[in-house]
Amino acid sequence: MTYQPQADFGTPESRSTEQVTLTIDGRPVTVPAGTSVMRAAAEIECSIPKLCATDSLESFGSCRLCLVEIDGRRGTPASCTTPVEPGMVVHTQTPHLQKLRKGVMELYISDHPLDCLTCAANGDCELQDQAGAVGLREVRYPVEATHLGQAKDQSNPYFDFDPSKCIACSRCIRACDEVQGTLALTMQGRGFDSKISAGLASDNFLGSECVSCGACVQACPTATLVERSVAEIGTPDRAVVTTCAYCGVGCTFRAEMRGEQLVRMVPWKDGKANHGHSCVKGRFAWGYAQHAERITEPMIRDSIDQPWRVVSWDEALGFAATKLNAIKARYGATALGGITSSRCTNEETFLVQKLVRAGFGSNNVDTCARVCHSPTGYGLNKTFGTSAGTQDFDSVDESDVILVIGANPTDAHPVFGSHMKRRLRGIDGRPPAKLIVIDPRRIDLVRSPHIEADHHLALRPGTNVAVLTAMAHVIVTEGLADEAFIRERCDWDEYQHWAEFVSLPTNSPEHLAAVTQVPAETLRAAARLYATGGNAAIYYGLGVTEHSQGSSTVIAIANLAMATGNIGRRGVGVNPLRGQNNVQGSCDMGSFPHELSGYRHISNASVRALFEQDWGVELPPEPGLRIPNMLDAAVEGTFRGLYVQGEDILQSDPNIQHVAAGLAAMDCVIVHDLFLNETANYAHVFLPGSSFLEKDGTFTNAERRIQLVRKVMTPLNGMADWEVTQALANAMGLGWTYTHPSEIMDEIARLTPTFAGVSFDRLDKEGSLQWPVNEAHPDGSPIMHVDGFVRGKGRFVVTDYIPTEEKTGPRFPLLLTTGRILSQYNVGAQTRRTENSLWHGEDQLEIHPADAEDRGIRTGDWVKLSSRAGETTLRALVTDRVAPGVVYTTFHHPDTQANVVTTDYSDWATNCPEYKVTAVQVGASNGPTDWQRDYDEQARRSRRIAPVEAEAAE
Amino acid sequence: MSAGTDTSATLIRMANQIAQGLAREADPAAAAAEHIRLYWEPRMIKALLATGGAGLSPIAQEAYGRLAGA
Repeated sequence: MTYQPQADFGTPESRSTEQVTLTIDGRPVTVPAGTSVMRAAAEIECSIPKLCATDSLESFGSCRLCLVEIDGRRGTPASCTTPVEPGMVVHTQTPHLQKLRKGVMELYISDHPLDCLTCAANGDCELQDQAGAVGLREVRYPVEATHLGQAKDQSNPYFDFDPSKCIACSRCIRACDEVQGTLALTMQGRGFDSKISAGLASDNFLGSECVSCGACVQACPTATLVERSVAEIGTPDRAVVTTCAYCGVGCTFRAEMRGEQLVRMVPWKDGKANHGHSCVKGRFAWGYAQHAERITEPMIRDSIDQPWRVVSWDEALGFAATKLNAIKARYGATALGGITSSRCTNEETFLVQKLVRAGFGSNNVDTCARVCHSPTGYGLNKTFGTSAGTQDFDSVDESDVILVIGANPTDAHPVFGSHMKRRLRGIDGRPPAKLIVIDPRRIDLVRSPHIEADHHLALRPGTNVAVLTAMAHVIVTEGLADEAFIRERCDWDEYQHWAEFVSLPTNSPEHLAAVTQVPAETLRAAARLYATGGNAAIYYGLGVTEHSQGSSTVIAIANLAMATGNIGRRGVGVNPLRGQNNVQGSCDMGSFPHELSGYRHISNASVRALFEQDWGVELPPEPGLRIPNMLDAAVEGTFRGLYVQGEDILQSDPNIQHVAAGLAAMDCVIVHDLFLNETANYAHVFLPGSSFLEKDGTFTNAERRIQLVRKVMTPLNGMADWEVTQALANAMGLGWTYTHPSEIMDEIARLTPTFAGVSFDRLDKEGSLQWPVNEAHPDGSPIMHVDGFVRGKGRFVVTDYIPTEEKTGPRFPLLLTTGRILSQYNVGAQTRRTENSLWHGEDQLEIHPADAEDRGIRTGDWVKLSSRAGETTLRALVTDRVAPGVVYTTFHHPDTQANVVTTDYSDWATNCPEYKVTAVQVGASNGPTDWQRDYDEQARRSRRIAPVEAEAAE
Repeated sequence: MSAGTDTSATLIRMANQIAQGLAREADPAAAAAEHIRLYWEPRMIKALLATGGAGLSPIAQEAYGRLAGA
């Protein structure tokens, strides 16, 4: 099959339900009212020439190429801006139109380089196509004043801007505006002097506000904006639709390939999570998959002070299996455990927990959700009866009020952030949604082009429950609760108990302002808006969960949604923004030590029996150890072997020194990863992993949407991750015989009621499915709890504000909170190995000008950040984004080691670490701390690989 | 996991936190004991019981009694 770009219908789809029939070139066509003539023509494969139109953008009507003739109308209207009408008779090709179009095209081409053969867009250029389509054969204009020969802007690492090739169609500017919502690009000058600018006249694409999402590159009809990979490699020859492996938005992309070489990732317009949009990570930051530091051969060593020895797969798996079996024989099954990866597929995750439960014989399996959204699982299960968000992303289109708490969507979930921004700007023609932001830091959403939060509650870190309870106080005491909804859908007695509690004077905004630092009137106004502003939706992230009261905060959010009737329909709901691509999936797949797939407790004998029968083993009925408890048990000597797939607990988990001590105490640590990550410094077996481009499987995004991941190239390490886990299982004698991940999904569907209707065949046909997919919901469930809560009656649970034990004081007077930045991803294992580091090369400490001045700190200074747990150094950025008394940093770089500083306080219900609140002191510094120097030395020694002997390599 | 280590202090703290988190339930001690049974691995419960319960809050102490009696 030769390469075909996705069909472009010229203008966006109309959502009208009214149908209109018209005639185009003698053929009848029926389309929704509001459709443009251009799109109606495209529906019957009649492609009207066009340049400034593309179906991701509103029609613009500037290129004058898409002219048509309509019976009974004068002149030649532009088909992109002319809506269809019943009975309309349209002619798209007449001698008159042909002449007009040829004249227009002649003008374009008179000012365009004719280097088509050597142009990066050769074969994929709309200008070239349209010149052909209109029959242009000569250009009569003399070459006088032109825009040719201008310098290219090659500042962006991923795409080039060549103004000489620009036809000033404004598609890039409109994409930046309408699709991304950054509004960085602009048209500078007028008339002949018109020129696309990346921002100010002095800006280039790297230095401007541009966030490198790629929407402009995708929209450009010429080679003016083109991916550098296309310029270097050439045009692709095939495209495979797959799912991004970065955040929980779950964008789908066309991986555009030449042979087994990835040429570019182009967001798929039919993707239901992203609708053809992307961010700098998913679209461009995939170079890590072929990075020189990737390890592609298995390695072993007897102890961690030895260099690694490259061995065959057989030797590595045999070595690992012998060690694991020996530990099991000597210390029992409970001495073994595993960690599943939220980066890997559902099928791979399912296999790892199966290996632990059925092979190792313990329930000691956990996943990185422990450190992010485990409180979501607990809190939503307690109140609604299931551990997942209630809405699909498109639901936001119908929201009137958006409440964002402890999340930073434009950085951490950028494609959904753009979607949300479209609603907040009201560019869909409806009044803009109102916005409430509850965050200690002034995130971009609070104030960005054409968006200003109606209320920003800049609370003191650690007081989420107090703020939400105070909001509930206002809603109940001012009579704003939706009692009809509550009586019908929730337990009335529990509501009354809760209402009585939140109504206490001690829960009033006035009383709690001293704790939260949120002015009572601001809080009251926000509560009133949430309760009375129409459809209100809550979006939250790790700023909610990563606290000692993380689970209580999730419950408090659910209480608010129930109390105001904002649940069970479009536009409302409770929406956890999931961090990793498959963190929802890894939780669904039974990665927690207390539950099997589909959130069923391990103590449930009938559920266990189902698995026991299928797997042919007996399962222990008690919960296993969580990650921090595994480490505790390791230090004590009762936990000795760990298989870690695609997770870097040494960098991502709290109190690094404790994690290091736990890992160092184990007899066998198996790290299965793309790179020698930080955890691998303490490993005895390294099993090379495969990237998402090298395997088949499924990911489940934050809206419970299961989507296919498709293999587009052979794994560099020779095996997809599910094959490696199976090989390890078989080395231990388990005799697994999966030949394709679809068979694993069949097993999941067989054993998990919420996945009963899921199969690879169906996903392939339908694109995606949102669980539950079963007899009751045969086509999946975009919105949950529509007719009733999963648990029956919604349950109100009283949430007392309990201050964290982590207190500021004279020695540690500031509060540190942590977060992410757009260009980097979590611990940075992938993005640091791409050009994304140009935007963010190191973690910085944001500090308020007043606190900085007290300490004599200026932007760019090295500062020492110390807490009761440890200390590290990094550079300061003085900014009023953070409130006085609060400092903020990211955790993308291992040399900063923010988690040296974070404590081991954790959520009361789930042990999710309290990353968001650490009492710290900040002072001037000359350079790295002793810990950083020691760590570097240990890491350097641990990463040594012995020279390969000839027979050792496969 | 034996008594008298850092781990026992951690377990006492966890039990107290759970008791505090469930203090508004109808029967807080029962809820705390149930929570511990549902989410703690047996050797953690054993280690908690081996601490003797010193340092536990009243609710946690009652939950401890229920776990010990079970």
